[in-house]
Amino acid sequence: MRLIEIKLIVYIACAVLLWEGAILSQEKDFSISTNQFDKKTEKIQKQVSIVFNDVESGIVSNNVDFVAKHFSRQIYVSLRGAESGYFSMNQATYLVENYFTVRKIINFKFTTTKLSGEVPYATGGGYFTLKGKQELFQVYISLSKNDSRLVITQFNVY
Amino acid sequence: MLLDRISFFKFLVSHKSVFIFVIILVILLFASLGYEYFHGIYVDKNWKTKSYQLEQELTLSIQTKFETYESETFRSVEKIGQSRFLKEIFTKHQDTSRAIFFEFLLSNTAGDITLELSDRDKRTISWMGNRRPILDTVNLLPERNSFILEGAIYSYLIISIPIIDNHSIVGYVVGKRLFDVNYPLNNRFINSNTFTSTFTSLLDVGAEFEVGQSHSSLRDTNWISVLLKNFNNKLIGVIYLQKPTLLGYGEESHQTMQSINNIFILIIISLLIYSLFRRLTTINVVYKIIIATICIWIFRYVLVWLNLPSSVIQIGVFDASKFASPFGYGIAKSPGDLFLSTVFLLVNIFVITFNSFLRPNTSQNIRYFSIYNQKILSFLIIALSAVLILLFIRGFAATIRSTVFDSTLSYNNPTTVIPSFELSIMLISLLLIALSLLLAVTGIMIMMNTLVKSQLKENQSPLTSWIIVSVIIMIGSILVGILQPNPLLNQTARLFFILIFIGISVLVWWFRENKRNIPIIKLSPLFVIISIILLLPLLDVTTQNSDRTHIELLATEIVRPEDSWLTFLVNKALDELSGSESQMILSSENAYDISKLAFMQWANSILSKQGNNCSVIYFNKKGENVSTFNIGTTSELKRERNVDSLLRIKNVYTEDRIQNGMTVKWYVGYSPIIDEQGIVIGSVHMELTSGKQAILRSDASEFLRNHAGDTFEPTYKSLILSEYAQGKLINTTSEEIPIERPLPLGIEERNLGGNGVWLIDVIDGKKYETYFFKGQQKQSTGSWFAISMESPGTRWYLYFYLRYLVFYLILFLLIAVIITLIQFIRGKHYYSSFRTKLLWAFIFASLAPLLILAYNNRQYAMDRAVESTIKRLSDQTFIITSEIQKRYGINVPVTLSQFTDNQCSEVAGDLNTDFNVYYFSTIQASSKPEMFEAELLDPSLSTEAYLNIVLKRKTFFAETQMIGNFSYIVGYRPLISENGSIIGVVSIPTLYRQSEIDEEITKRNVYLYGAYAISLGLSLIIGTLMANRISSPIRRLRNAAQNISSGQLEIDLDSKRQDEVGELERAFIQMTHDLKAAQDQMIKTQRETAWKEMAKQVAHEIKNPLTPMKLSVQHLRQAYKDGIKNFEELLQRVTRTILEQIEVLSRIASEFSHYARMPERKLEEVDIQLVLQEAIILFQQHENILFDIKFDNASSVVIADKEEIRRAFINIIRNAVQAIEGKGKVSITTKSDIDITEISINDTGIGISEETMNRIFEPNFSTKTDGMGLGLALVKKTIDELGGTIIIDSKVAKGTTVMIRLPLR
Repeated sequence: MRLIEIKLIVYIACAVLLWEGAILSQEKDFSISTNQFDKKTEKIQKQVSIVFNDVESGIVSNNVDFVAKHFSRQIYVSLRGAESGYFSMNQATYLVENYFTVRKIINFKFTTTKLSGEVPYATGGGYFTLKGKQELFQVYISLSKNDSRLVITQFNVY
Repeated sequence: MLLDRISFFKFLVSHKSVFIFVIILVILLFASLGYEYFHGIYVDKNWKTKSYQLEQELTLSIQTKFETYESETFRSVEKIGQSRFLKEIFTKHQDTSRAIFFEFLLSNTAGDITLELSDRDKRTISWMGNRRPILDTVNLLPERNSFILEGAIYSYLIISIPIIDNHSIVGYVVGKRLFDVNYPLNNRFINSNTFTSTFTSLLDVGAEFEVGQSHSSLRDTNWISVLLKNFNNKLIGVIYLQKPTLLGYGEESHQTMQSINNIFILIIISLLIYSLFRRLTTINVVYKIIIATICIWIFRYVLVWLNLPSSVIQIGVFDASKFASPFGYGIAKSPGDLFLSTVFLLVNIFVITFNSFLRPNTSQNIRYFSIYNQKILSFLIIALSAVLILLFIRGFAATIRSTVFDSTLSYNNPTTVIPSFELSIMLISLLLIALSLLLAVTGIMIMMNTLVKSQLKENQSPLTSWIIVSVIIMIGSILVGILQPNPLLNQTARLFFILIFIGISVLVWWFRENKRNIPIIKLSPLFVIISIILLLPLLDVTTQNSDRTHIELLATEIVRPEDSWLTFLVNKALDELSGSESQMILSSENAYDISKLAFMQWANSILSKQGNNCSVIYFNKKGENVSTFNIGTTSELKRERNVDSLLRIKNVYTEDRIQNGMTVKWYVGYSPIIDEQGIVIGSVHMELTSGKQAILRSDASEFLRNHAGDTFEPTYKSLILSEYAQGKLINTTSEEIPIERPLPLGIEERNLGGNGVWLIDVIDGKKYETYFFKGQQKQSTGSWFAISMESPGTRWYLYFYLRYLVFYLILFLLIAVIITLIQFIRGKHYYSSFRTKLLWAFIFASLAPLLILAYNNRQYAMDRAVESTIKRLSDQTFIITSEIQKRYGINVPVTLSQFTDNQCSEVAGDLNTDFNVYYFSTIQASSKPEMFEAELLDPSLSTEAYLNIVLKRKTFFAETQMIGNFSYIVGYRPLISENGSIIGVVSIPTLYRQSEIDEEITKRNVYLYGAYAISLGLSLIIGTLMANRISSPIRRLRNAAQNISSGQLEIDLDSKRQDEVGELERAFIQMTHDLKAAQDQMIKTQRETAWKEMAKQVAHEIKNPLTPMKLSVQHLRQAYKDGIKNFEELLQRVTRTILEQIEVLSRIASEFSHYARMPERKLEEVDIQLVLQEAIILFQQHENILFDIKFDNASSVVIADKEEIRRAFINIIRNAVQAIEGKGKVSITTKSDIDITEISINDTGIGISEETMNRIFEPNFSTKTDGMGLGLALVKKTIDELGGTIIIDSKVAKGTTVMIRLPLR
């Protein structure tokens, strides 16, 4: 077999594997090790804290991946002056990313957190600039257990 | 002119011009960057001046717009006020009949302006449109007047004009036009076409509006106040605009410049890639594929990187809220981006498959993959290919899943037949993906088949290799099912896909094997149809799965134990509701403002933005209810409240309530309102519930909610919520499911995972897809809930498929029309076959009546639906008027004036119909009072209703009304007093029953279009069969004629038909027989003539050398006899001459042999440059001749017989060498373009005369003494048969140039 033929076959194989990789990337499971959630409340609270910290640092650093990796497959998103409703995790990631792309975060901090219970939540506020104007914004997120994972089921910016 | 254009186009696409364009664009890009930088510095330094200039521009722009808006409105109102007829009726009929004024307004509308007529005493006598907010008569002045009137939701520009007849005022005309929406509500029921919306969207500025004659001092310096003055130069309001800031201006400028720069960058990259593509045409196919693919995807990712075109074209199709997927790292983040990516994908797949597997004349190419002696490698490649195909199938399923699950678009909304623009883009994208899949898999399967075939014996049937390929893929499919945890498609679906792929691959392979060239254009409709067949079932199944997922999500919402968000919402809302504005209004004594307080505060609070069902109630310091607003709730108003608690502390709690038989969790809170001195001046109480449960109770009022589309419910089937306790049904929202129905058996056992169970539940013969899930312990011990939806029937599927088939049909017709038009403009015309014409004729003949019928049926069905609705409204208004008169004794005006909203709600609840009651012409009570409180509905009777019911005394009247952009039907019936006079009117709007109406539309569509789907399918099948049957004899005749023209006279025609076509066939057969006889005779004659000619020619040619031979022999014999001295020398000379002549004879024989014998051509890839080099080597021993060789770098590979083409070049080079006398030069050059290679052989020989030139390619013509004159004839024959051309240009004594053009591989 000529070199050229081998190259063609290898090329097609690589292309398909890349494609498949791209497909699989959308189904990437961002799961936190779920075994840690069992039984002990302290561990649960620790995990909840991790989520809240990720969200807080994600918003401050404008890195949506930090936030999006905790989204549930279907999440209620309500963004002031923009979309509101139930969206898939993938869609919600883009919506939140687009939302904070045009709004430059000045500061943000969670001020109230509830680490225990079936629906842990956190609320907080900060400032962003939009079209040169500084605006106050507040965020509310709540978590739920989904297949033994703690995921964000509600993400509100109001 | 055309030539000029072509030359210009050629210039545009030439390498040189591309280079120039790129340089210009780079300069422009740097200029743009420089401008941005220096402009930024300039603005930074001069911001004060710049901001002042911007403020002035904004102010002037808005004031000009307002003047235009006001004068337009004034002219419309003035036109009414100056009507001669109106003046007359004011003078003559003012005290007699009001009907004439209503009729006048009905026939004199003024666009979007609401009109009111008042008499000279300023009493309203007729109106048209929403009367709210009510106008204070002090504003009706003896001269024209203009001002802004603020209502609950909308503010209006009011224009009043006195109607003057004979110098005295006889009445007033008032026009109201929408000016502003006071609250940030955004749904289809809110008319957002206001004056303020026009400039906020155009100028992209944040704006707030205040009515009044002075501007607020509370505004800080961040606002610009734009004073609005009326035509009397009186201040009527102020628009506050956010001041431009340096940061904001900088960002805006940066975004604008970035968009321009992005476009420059894009064009530069496009030109560079284009330039590279042009070079691609001359390189090897494998590199061409690789480079093309890299270029395609680099270009796509450049678009992603530059955020194009979404940053420039900001329309819904690039909105991530419609669809967004992280697939491919950003190439599918919106419907528009997905579409672009699928176009790139299809182009890429086409480039790969067309160049490697599907290209015409590639029977040799496929040998690339014939690895005859490497069985293991062959097997590995076959196995890898099978895996690739299965991965492709899985990838396709994953893509479909993503397009449904990562999207908020409704793929199965049956209320509209034509999909929205965004959905259309998604559907086109899905089809392109399916088409790419099909093309790719077909190519791979053909390659697999070739590989398998290469490992089989040559005498094996072609089907054997296909069977082996099929078995390998099917085994792979089974293994995928076993090994892959989530294959996305079940085994049956995978096999269905594989069978379709095998079918299409065999077909393409068969075409290529039997017809040499694949008619890819002709096959494209088949590819598209198969793509649709692959796509639609998968889309349907995925959509249904998505619906189920939504229902499961709804289930989790219903049983959610505690919603911290709602608790938080109540806390947050209480803070807002008890804020400074509430304090101010409660402290004031303005009764109207206080009565609207609850609505206004709700509208401005977080509650309206979130859209939950809720109640807001304000109490004064005595604990009296002073303002109430309810949305989606009514029953809780009657609850007792502890007023003391309300006034003392803030409190938030939850409680379970039974509503309509269902347990619903409510979030309740109250808070005192304290003024600045710390004194309690009142309190606010609020309660809300999750909107999700409300959906199932059909009491969700979406009119006042933002984003009304936020719903779980699949629109084509209404959901039923049922609650089971202790194994029996205790509550349900459906009237068709019997109470105490037992919980289906085995639910507990099947719910092992605890997430719920899906079941097909059959109730009274109806099938329901039901999701059973357990209630939370706290909420309802041991209870089960069930959400059911009626199973879609066969008609539903037919309708679903028909909608998309019609969509794709329209799409392809559009594409076909566009392509035909483009080709027509370019001077190309397509002619379709007789069968195609016949097929189209049948389809049109059957579709035309079907479409007319469909249109008529739809119209008829819609008319019937309206009639049916009106009839139902007539019956319902009759029942309600009877009921309220019977229950509350409303027979005189006094009793009606005491009728309340709660009484209204009681009757509405009992009769399951919402309605409104008017006291004379004004609203008295409503079962949905929030609509009137918000002033979304007109509290006055509509013009036509008043005219028909009150003035014309009709017993029932129905009309269509609009709320925002939404239309609905309202039925009216008078309430008649004991003495027969009209005391009021009952109205029932269909507004509150929109979900039922949508369901009816769905059922009607599904019913009608299901039948049309069958008719369409039958029309297509019967049409195709008939067209085939009628056109088959014509096609047979055409094929026979083609065979005859190619010399094949053995034809097989069925002439059993007894019609005209049969006669034609028989006549054709007879003609063929006669033709064959004539041909046989002709061949015989020609053969004889040829032999004679040949014999003559051979004799002549042989005779020439024989003569010197004979003379030489005679001379030798004579010399021998004479015994001459130098006999030996003579012998040498004579024998040499004889041998030379024998050589000539031998060459003559050889040339005849070559000309007569045509060996089978062995086509292969031949590199012309290599062959030329081999040929040149043969002649390089000529010391006096210089060979100048210039080959270009591009590929010059052609498909040819290597020996044949080599002979041709040897012939030409030999001629060139022989033409040179003494010293000379032979120049040989090659140059390749997109699809041809050009070979030029130039000599500095004696040249060819014009006379010789005319006969140069004739056989037997030669200027040489030793040749047969067949060399160039053979060369031309060879070049012609390869599809090339040969041109000879020569000048006597200067030289000859032979120019050959051959098509590249």
